Amino acid sequence: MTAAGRAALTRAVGLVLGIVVLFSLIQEPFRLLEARLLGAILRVLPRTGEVVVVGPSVVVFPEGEVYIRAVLLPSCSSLAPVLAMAVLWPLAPRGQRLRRGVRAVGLAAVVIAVGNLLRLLLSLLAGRWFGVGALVAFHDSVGAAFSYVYVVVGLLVGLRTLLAPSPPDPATSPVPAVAPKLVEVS
Amino acid sequence: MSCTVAGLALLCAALLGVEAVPQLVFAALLALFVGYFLRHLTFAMCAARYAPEDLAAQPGDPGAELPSVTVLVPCHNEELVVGSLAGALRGLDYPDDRLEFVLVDDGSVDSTGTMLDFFADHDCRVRVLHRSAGAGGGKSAALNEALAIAGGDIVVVFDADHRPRPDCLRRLVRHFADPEVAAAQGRCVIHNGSDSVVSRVVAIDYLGGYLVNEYGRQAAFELPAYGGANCAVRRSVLEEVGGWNAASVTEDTDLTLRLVLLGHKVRYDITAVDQEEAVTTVRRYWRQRYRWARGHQQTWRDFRGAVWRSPHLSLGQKVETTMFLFGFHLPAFALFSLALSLAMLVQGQSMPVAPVAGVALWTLLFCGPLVETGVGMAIGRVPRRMVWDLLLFLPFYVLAMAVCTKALVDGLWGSSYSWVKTPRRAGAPAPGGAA
Repeated sequence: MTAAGRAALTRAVGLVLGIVVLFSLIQEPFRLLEARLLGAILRVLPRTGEVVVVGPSVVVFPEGEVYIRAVLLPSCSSLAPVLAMAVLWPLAPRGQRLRRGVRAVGLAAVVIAVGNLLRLLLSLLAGRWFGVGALVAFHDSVGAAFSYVYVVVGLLVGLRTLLAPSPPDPATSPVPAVAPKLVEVS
Repeated sequence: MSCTVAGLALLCAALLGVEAVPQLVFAALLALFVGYFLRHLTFAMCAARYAPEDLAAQPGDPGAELPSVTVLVPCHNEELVVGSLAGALRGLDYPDDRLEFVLVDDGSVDSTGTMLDFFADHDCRVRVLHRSAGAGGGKSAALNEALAIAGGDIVVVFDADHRPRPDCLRRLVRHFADPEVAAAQGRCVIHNGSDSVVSRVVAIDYLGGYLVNEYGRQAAFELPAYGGANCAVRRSVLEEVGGWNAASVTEDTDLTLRLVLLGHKVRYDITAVDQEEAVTTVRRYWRQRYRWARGHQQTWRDFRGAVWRSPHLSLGQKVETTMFLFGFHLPAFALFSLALSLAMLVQGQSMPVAPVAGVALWTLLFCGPLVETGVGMAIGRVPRRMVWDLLLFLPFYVLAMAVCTKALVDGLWGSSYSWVKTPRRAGAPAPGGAA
């Protein structure tokens, strides 16, 4: 293996391990933060009822109806895909990691975090208006598909940031063709 | 190998209980996918760091005298593209007295043979070989017949739909100044990416393939693959190994393995560019990818043991070569893991890896292929709006899972298969095209 290959592989392994370790370390406080944010948004919305946040759980008490308690599990959190976007950082062009690399990771992370909050919000609202069964159904079907979409969109937004506006690659310009001529070799 | 896997599964079932087997299989699949993710991230990092500089570099003075070159082009019913090919070959910047062309009319039933004869009538560097329609053996047999009359020290192969850039030969042959180099591969670019959705996907796929994957293999392991076109090989070495393998439908990968196992070096030149035509329909895409999958999977079965016994490869190169050969099995394994996870979900079983780490890992794997292709797009300087075309890769990966699984089952079952030519579409011929 070449020195360049060893260096790149070491960074790749370090990055993956770092993401997994960081996820394990901060997933709990991050979930608490997401639950509080979700609670704050729900309180602003009209006719939601009383909203109480207990740890990573959001409890909604609609007037005169059965309350709904939604627990934010590690797999429901946006932290894993948000951290995964860190792989974009070392792929930024040389000399532009701080500007373009950080911007790519940041934009992708914001899209994913907002998308996940929207998914959780819609799941809870489905439960609030159509019952717990609707919450579960929405979360497991529409919500799962939606999570797939916002992770891809976040990644593409990040990748788009890595693409610098530049003149087209000359390799893609038409190959000049030479008309038939008599060629004789002495 | 299948007996070993079955034996291990039985042993696990006996020791840990039948319920544990799917969990262990799932964990093994996760480890396999993580390995490939790290491989592709390594390639992407190498390419992002070094490829832009290499692309901008100008070729230095070759110093020694240029070697003599024979360009071989097998043509089977290629009347739609052979005019453009002729125009591009005439435009190659290489001394006339050191360049010859051997064009093979491989049993064509259209006007390909007539067009090639016209080309030869106007250029004494051109010789045409006519093979009968029933000659058989596909591209490899046509190339071997052409090799028998080739006079150049270096043999360069193009397919009929290719259009090499004028400096392509000079850039390829400079690598042969190193006597240990047996083959050099150039970069292929799709010229008809705007023809259809399929050709657009192929064009983007090539950006990842040539600007990241192939480049990364060279940068990290010095093990690029010799491809089927826009590639040069030292004639003496080619004759020493017996030419192209007519029994293989991916004669390029087969030759790569035979060269590296004998201790020869293969090089990749990111600046030696030629353009080729992508398939434009799903049907043709399926046929082409099926051939690639059958051929690569067969090469894996033919060489997997020899790779680990080779005294010429380092441990890292053995691991990389194994992963390279196994690559066309991966989509089939992805389909299997998808089916297994669905079955486990239905039965209410949990994931085998600790949930917390598992969530992060699976998310990373999902991002991997898109990241590699995205870096290829950045290096290839495509317009920013094209990044959304990556969404097309998701349905095409499902197609790849189906193609590779069918090829794997057919190959293991032993169903016969021979070379299948990719039909051309061809736009308007390039100006100056023959006939």
